[in-house]
Amino acid sequence: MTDSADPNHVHREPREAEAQDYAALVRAVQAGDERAMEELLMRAQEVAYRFSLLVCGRPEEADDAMQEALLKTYRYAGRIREPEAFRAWLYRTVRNACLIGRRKRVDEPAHLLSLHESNGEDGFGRGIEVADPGRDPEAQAMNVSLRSRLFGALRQLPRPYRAVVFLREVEGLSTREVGKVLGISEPNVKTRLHRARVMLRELLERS
Amino acid sequence: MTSPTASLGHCHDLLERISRYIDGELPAADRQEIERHLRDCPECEEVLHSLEHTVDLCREAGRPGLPPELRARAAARVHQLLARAAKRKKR
Repeated sequence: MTDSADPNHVHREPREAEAQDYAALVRAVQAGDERAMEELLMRAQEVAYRFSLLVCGRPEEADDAMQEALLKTYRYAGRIREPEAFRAWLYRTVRNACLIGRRKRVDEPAHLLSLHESNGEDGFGRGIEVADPGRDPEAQAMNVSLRSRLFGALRQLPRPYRAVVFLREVEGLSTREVGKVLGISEPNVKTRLHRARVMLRELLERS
Repeated sequence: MTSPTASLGHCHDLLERISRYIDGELPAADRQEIERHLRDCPECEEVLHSLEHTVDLCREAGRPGLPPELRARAAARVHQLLARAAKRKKR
């Protein structure tokens, strides 16, 4: 079973390696490996779910974003010339899907989750399923309520800051990749990241 | 951030660079300057530790997994898509 197919897997390894992992999957897809395509399509949907949940703050629309990520990945994975660029492309695609969803709701009142509402809940009224493996004692030791507080605090950040923290700290993208996903310069990524960390620290202290 | 050896301006300057310090992105001279300042300024040292803790928390929290019913739906969509593609190839 692959990492992303295992709901109990926690990604704690340095994620720089993950970009190469994506690139290897893309190469395998291009060589006709159906299992690699299956893996890539599941990952694309997982990324879309996490982005909807933690950045867009609209988990009820995660399913739409997941479908968009699935179809675009299916169409694009076989054609990409630089497999190393796939990861940034995937996150940018997911971000755009979320933005399109937002534009469609332009007449709706903005719905920001309160800290109470977002604490440990995925917006459907269920607890967030955080991968927490029985086989990783270090991850088990991570205090569950602390994790809920973290995700709750993250969703209280203004969206541009939330996106940077999500991409850099939670998903482990490089500064360069974050810049590509968000369409901003690397110095701008660093500035936003610093401000976001300061805000997040304050939110965590208050919660 | 009012220790006798640290001016408020210096603290502010340091805090602007503290994320780059945490990420190991500063040149050696800047790192040493910050480390000297931290030895004299417990307030900045406290800020550094709490920011490091926040960063660690984010990196170690694990990523939310798909709820079971969404996972099942996602897997079903993948299999459906690949099955349709395989059918098309056979034609």
